[in-house]
Amino acid sequence: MQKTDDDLIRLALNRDTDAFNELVIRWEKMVYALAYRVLGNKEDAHDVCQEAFIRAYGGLKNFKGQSKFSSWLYRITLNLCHDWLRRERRMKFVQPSDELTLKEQQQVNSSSETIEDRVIRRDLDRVVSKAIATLPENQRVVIVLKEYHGLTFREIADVLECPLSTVKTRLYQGLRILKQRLESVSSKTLASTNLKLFYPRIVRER
Amino acid sequence: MNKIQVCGDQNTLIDYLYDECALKERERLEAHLETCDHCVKELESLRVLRGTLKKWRSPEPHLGYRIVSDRDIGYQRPWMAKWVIAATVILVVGFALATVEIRYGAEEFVFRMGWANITQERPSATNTTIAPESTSPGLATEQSVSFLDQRSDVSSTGTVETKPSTETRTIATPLSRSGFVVDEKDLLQQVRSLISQSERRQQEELALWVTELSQEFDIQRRVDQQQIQEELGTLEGFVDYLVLTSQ
Repeated sequence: MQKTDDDLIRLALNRDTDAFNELVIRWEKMVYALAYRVLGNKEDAHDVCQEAFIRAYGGLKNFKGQSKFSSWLYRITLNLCHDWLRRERRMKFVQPSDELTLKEQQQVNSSSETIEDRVIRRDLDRVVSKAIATLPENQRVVIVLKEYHGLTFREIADVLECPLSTVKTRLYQGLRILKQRLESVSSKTLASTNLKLFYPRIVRER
Repeated sequence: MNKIQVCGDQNTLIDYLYDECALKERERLEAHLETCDHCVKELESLRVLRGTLKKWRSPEPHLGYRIVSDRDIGYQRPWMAKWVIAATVILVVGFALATVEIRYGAEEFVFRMGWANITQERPSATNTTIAPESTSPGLATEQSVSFLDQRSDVSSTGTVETKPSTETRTIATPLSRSGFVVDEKDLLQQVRSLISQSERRQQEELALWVTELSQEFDIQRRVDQQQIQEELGTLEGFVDYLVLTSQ
């Protein structure tokens, strides 16, 4: 039977490093994804992710179990992201590299995704990530937690230690801004994408 | 009534959008949506937006973070440290008090925390001397043994009480030179095996890295070829299109 987070925490508090590493394995992807979407940069996300687990390990005795372990971990990560953005002034647009990662390339080769699909998806990635990166940090964080991590409003309020109504307001405002920005760029993006895709079709049809 | 209470109520709309609405609120909003085009459009546009946002995927790199050392970052036990310090202080003070020497006479007054030269102060009683400083640990052990032998001989005279000589020898034997050499060999063997393991691991990692790199290069080459072909097709199509439109 798989151990719960609470079981692993109990073991880790008795200096069982393997138990803590089990927690790391369980949550590292989520923590990384959160840091990546808030910071908009892979390298920074790596650093923050690593630091988050070191802090969690160091402060495990302070975890009282009043909230879920994941919420506590999210709070640590977001505090680090906040410090990172403020101290280093690393606020920048996400600029996904045009080069594909090894995993993506393997997916392209193995899956039925065509080059055209991939181009469209990457364009969309770029547009969405840029739009999210321009949001104020507090709105961006709420949107990321809700849309990509599926936390409830109550959980987000606990993680951010703010009232429930504030969470909803930030989310709504953030979505409104995103909607406007995405609408303004979508026509341009679609136009260029269609242009790209239109001409090869002529060739094929002939 | 619905219009006044629900229309423009962001919180309710957000609750409904994310399916976190209470049943009562849900019914109220759904009733309102039947009559309010503005709210229907708002809700629909937010749903479309959510669909777009969902398509943004985070990269999934190989992370593999592991805690490899538990150097008491979070596991300091101050109560234990305090007890250790307190016990040490008590022992030191106790030892100092037990061996303190106060002498006074007509000529001088001497106050000595006597841990330094106890045996020097009692030469006349036992006729023993401190062993000279040794050059090697093994030699020191042997000298200590002989020194202890002397002390036990003294005990037979009844001047100073010590344990019998046989017991002293059994304690001293494990510290002999031959025992130490065996441990050293074991240690060296362990270190050598660790080094060889580390080298093997590094070689494996290097081989893996080179393999990955060559694979990556190969895949990138194929992707580039596809892209070039696609671009050529685009260009060709564009030329054809121009030709068609010009005709």
